[in-house]
Amino acid sequence: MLEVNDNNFQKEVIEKSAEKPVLVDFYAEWCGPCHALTPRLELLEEEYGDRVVFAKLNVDESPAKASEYSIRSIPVVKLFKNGKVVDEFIGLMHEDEIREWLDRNLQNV
Amino acid sequence: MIEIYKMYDVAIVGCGPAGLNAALYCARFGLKTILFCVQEGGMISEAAVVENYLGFKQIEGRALIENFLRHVKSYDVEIVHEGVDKIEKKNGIFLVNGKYESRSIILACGSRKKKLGIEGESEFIGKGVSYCAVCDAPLYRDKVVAVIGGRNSATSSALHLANFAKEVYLVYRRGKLRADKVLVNKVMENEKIKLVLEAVPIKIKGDKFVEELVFEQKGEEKSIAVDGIFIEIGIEPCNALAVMLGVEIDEEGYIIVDHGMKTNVKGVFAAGDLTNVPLKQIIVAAAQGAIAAASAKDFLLENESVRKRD
Repeated sequence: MLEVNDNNFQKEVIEKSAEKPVLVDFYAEWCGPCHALTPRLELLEEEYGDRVVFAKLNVDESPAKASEYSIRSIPVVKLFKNGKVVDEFIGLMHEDEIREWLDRNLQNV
Repeated sequence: MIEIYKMYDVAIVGCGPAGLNAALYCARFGLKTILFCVQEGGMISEAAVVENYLGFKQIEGRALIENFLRHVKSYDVEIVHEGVDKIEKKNGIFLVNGKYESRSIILACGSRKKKLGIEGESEFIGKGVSYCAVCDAPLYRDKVVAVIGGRNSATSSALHLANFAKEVYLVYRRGKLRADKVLVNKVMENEKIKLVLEAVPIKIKGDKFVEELVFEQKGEEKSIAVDGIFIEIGIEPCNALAVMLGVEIDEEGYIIVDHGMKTNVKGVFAAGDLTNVPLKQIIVAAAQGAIAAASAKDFLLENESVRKRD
């Protein structure tokens, strides 16, 4: 997964999402459920990587973006299209639930 | 078409301390073991520090989980990262998720946080309402938060939050905290934590994010301005699979087990927070996992001898 931060967010997420949807996993080292979620997203990246860019952002190291997107709970996963958040889910989800979430969002591309 | 991979001796559902320890013991007994894992470490993943697990005076929740996993993975246990939503019993064999066959089952799916069930709660999840202080506390640096509850999980959450927040209200419906004395003393000494006792939450208000907690105290309606509300009012057992299998549960939904962690259904054992054993602690769950594993082994041996006699 692509590591994004306060510095490259504009280029890697906002601008790139005009071509292809970008999924951003907002996480932190201290967060247990985040450690369970990220490997699942990594697995799904193998399956969906050609259609969606998979990225993660450490909220501790990128406080500006965490604050801009009003992150109050992690893990939270947001999907960006054309520079805007089009959908999100909060908390740990099963792999097949994430797959459904992705399929639903990719239908409308 | 149903694809049957292979037959396991035991399928363990859940990978908190109960499930992990059950897997360790099953593997050491030489049982063919499969472990279904969604949240590694279970509830421990939401604990910042653990101070009451024998042998570790103070250890981060995550570090303890890593130790557990490393230990289990050093044995021959098949770990599957898959949620289990269906178990059927046919001719004495269990079919998990329609594709894994096993001769016995150990249910160790634990519990989930209880909801308050008040107005605004669901609406503001992720927007100020949280059920995991360890996950979200650092996001409330210099903010004002409330913790609802008065037992161990609520008091330790309040203490953890006090490391980041400007002010922490501990809101409890009773007149006195019901946590371990060590924790209560720490709360009392902490200048950031303010007790709001005999207070029953009624409503969570806000625009885009949480702004206010409304509660009733001694017949009067009051409110406090807060940025975040952490709900720690206890747990409820994840018993859906148990119900599906016809396993007996008590009036609160906990699986009824005997001293061998046996349930009323032959071949089904249970361990950890979802059982009716009252003390919900890591060491208790782990111990129950070991007992369940031993009972599963005995059950399999008995069945084996029955099969041979036939």
